[in-house]
This record gives sequence, structure tokens and C-alpha cells, in this order.
Amino acid sequence: MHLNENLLRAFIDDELPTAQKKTAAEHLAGCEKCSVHLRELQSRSRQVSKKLQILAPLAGEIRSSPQIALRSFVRQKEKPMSTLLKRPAWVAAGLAVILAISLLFPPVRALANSFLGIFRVQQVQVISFDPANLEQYNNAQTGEAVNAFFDKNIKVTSESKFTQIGSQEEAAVLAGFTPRLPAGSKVSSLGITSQESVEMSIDATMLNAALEAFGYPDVKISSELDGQKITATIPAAVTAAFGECPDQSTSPESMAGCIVLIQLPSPTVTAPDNFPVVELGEVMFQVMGMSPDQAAQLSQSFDWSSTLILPVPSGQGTQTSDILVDGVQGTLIREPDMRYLVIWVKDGILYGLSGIDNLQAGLRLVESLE
Amino acid sequence: MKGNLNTTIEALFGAQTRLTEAEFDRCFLENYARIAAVAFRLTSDPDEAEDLASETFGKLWQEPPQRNENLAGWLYRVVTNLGYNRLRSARRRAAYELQAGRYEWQDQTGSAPEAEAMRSQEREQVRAILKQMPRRDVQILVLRSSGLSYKEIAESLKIAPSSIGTLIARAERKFELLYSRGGWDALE
Repeated sequence: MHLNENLLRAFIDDELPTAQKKTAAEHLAGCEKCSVHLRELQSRSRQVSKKLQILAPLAGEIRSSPQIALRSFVRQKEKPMSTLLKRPAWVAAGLAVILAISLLFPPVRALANSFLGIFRVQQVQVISFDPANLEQYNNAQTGEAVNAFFDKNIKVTSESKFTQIGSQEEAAVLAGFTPRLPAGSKVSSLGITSQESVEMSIDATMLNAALEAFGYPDVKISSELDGQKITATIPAAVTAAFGECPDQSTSPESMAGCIVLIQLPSPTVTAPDNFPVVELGEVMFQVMGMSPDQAAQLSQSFDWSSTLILPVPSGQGTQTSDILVDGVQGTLIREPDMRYLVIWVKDGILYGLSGIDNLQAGLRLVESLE
Repeated sequence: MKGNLNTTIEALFGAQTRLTEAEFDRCFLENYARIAAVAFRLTSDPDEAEDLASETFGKLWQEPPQRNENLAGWLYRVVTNLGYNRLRSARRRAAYELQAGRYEWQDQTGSAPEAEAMRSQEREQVRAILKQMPRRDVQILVLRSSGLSYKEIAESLKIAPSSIGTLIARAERKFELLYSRGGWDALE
């Protein structure tokens, strides 16, 4: 019984376990054939090793220190958008839903309710984004996937209905709060939009696949959260119209004499404790077009427990700015066709003022709110 | 759609978790020197070696291994795979190219030009042999030459530890055969 090549070669490199090594050495001492075989392997091993050693780098041939190499590597990889384009589009739809939910509600109500908001809204943060950024995800497949997601995971648990009402007192009863109306101005029409609740079931797998597709795989939604709910509650709102307000707005011109004031108690959103709000916020901001640094900065400095995100599509001349209204800081959004929307939060009530080409008149109305 | 489905299935069930930035940075700093050295062995050029090392860590960032895999071993496997690809597709460097790089190397290594040129040529010869060998043989020889133990090689290349001895012996035989056929100096 002779020593096989595997064993002999390992013996040469001192890679045999102690017991085996001892046995092999003992055998070799008494076996000529194996000794010859060993020497052959040893000789060849030395020759080849010598040649391969020529390839080894000398001092100075590896130029960068690890620190420098890391820095230049990091600079290189700061290109998130390029990775996005390689991802399968339909998987990205799941993440598009995060934005889609924000845009669920009609602009007039000014409630692009971010499900990333938790608890009670105390301020509104308007964020401009370029819809072109989302264009790449807008196709038949993503549309399908978004619909499927909505069908499967999103439930409107109580749908809002608009009812015309006659008086402020009636509004107070139906809405559950006393709406403020401008002193001296005649209300053309008064209506209540009843409470709406939207419930989303967390589908961790789908959301994580989408995050991965977008290039944010280190933001993980734990599978513990699977099936748990995120609910958004938009309380009943009071809508007051002033001036000449047609029943149906057919054109901007027809609305020129009309000002609309909406008010409602701050919407609330509840989500599970360990829902990665800050991380998802960061992702959302990046998808909307911010750089990774900006997105991180904004998301981390945000008070997610009290701020409502209002994504506003930019481009086509939409302008947003701060405005002092009703004694608080509000946001003014203006469209090129002179349509405007002013949003502010005061004493736990969220307000929206909307009109066309009559901002000053609208602001005067607000000044006289009681 | 099928391609997308496969990717998605991979994404959903591959259980890949990217490294956090901190983990990645730590892994990079810990392993860069050794990976760059292996990269140099396969490229014999400082720029290319840097590029290859960068490509390797790029994979760590984008398509990392399963959580339970040893990262160093994985990096060795990737760098030798990528390096082997480059080796196979690289044309033989003309002598004048080696000359051009000569002075730069001299600055770095401080040796005389003649020794430089000699070393470049020798390296080209060795690489020319490796180029003719099967991938795994090259991986084994280069990693062994870089100082990895049998266990480390086995883990990195996903080979049974008990067969490393044989595989090295066979690879060395192939190398010797190709070298002697090459008509260069006979091995002493």
C-alpha cells in the first residue's frame, strides 16, 4: 500500500493533520517507491513555485493604499440612476405605489397623503418632483402590477361621499368640528366630504423586491410586518365655495370668479412600530429625483410623525413657495394657467384654498376667517 | 417577461442581502491589499491590477454572496475568475509596451532598467502558460502562490479540501509540461 499523490503533495506543503503526517513520514522512511515519488513532486513544486513567484508584485507595484482605493471606489459607485435602468420594470412598480398612494387623492383636496406619515399632521411639506423620473416605470406591465397591487393590498375601508349642506351648524354636526368661515362673505355652497379610510396590507416580499429593483436593497421591510396594516384616515372635510362657482368646472375661465376653501382635522396614519419610515422616506425622495445625499439629509431631519408629504409634479411651470397665511407658514402652489393652491395647518386643522387668478381675493377671505 | 421573472425569483428567493456601507468599507479595507496582489499576479500591470481589484469589489457591492459565505474566500474566487477572463482575452504585450512602462516601474521599485525588462519578459512567459491552462488550475496555482492554505483554497473555490493535494499536483504537472514545450530555459 503506497501513499497516493494527494497525500504526498499535502505532505510536502505540511497540510496533513498530525496523525496522518506521522503515518506518512513513517511509511516514507521505509518505502523507496514513495520516497522517489515524493522527491519528484517536491522538485516540480519548487520549480513551478519559483516561476509563479515572478508574478508577485514588488514594493511599489501596487499603487494605491486601501484607504485611497476605497475613496476612489466610493466616488465611482455614486451613480444610483444607472442601476435603476437595468432593473425589470414591473418589479419596480411596487415602489411606485409608495408614490401612487401619495397621489391618490384629487389635487383639489390637496391631500397627497403619504403613508409614510405617522400620527397627526402638524405641517405640510411640499416636495417638487419631475414626473419624467417616473416615466421609465410607466408602461403596460407596471400599470398592470400597480393595479394588481392595489386590488390585492389596498382597501378603501370607508369611502368618502360629498353632501351639500345648508348651514355652518349642520356642517359642525356632520363633520365633527366647527368650520371657520369668513366674516361678512356669503358662502355660495357648503358641502361635507365624509371620512375616508384607506388600508394597505404590507406585502413585505413585493415591497422588498421593488426596493431591490430600485437599487435600495439594504432598505428591508421585515417579514414580521407581512400582512400588517397601514391605515390612513382622512377625517370629514368641509368645503366652502365663494363667488361664482359653476356646478361643474368646464374650463379655467368658468372658475375665475370662484374660490374654494377646504378644511379638515389633520389626517392620521398609523403604521407598525418597526416600519422603516426614515429609510423608505429616503428611497421615495431619491425616486423623486433627489441625490442620495439630499434624500438622506431630508429624510433624517424630517419629523415623520407630524409632517405630511405633498409631492407636487414640477415642470410645465408649476411653482411652489412659502407664504404667510392665517398667521402661519403655508405653501403656495401655482400653475401657469393661474390656478393656485394654498395649504396650511393651524390648530390641528388642515386648510386648502384654491382658485384661479384670484389669489389676493382668496387671501383676503382667509384674513377674515373667524 | 421570462427573463424578468427569473431575475425576480432570484431576487425573492436568493436571500441576498447587500452589505451595509460600514460592512462593505470594513471588508474593503481588510482585503484590498491581498486582492490587489492577486490581481497583479494575473495582470502584471499596476493599472490593470487596480482596475481588476475595483471590478471585484464592485461585484461585492452589487451582487454579494449569501450571508453565510466567507467574504475573503468569495473575493479570492471572484478576482481569480475575472482575472482569468482578462488573461484569456489579453493579447501578448509587445516588447515595446513593456519598455514604455519600464521607467515608471523603475521609479516604483528602484531597480535597474535591465532587471525590469527581464522581469516583464519573464512575467509574460508565465502568463502565457497560465493562459493555456484550465481556469481552475490557474485559480489554484495563483491562490496557492499567494499564500492561501489548502483549507482556504478549498473554501474559496468550493472544492473538497481532501482533493486539493491532487489538484495542485496535476496543475503543476500541466504547468511544467507547457513550460518545457515553450522552448524557453529548461527548468533546472
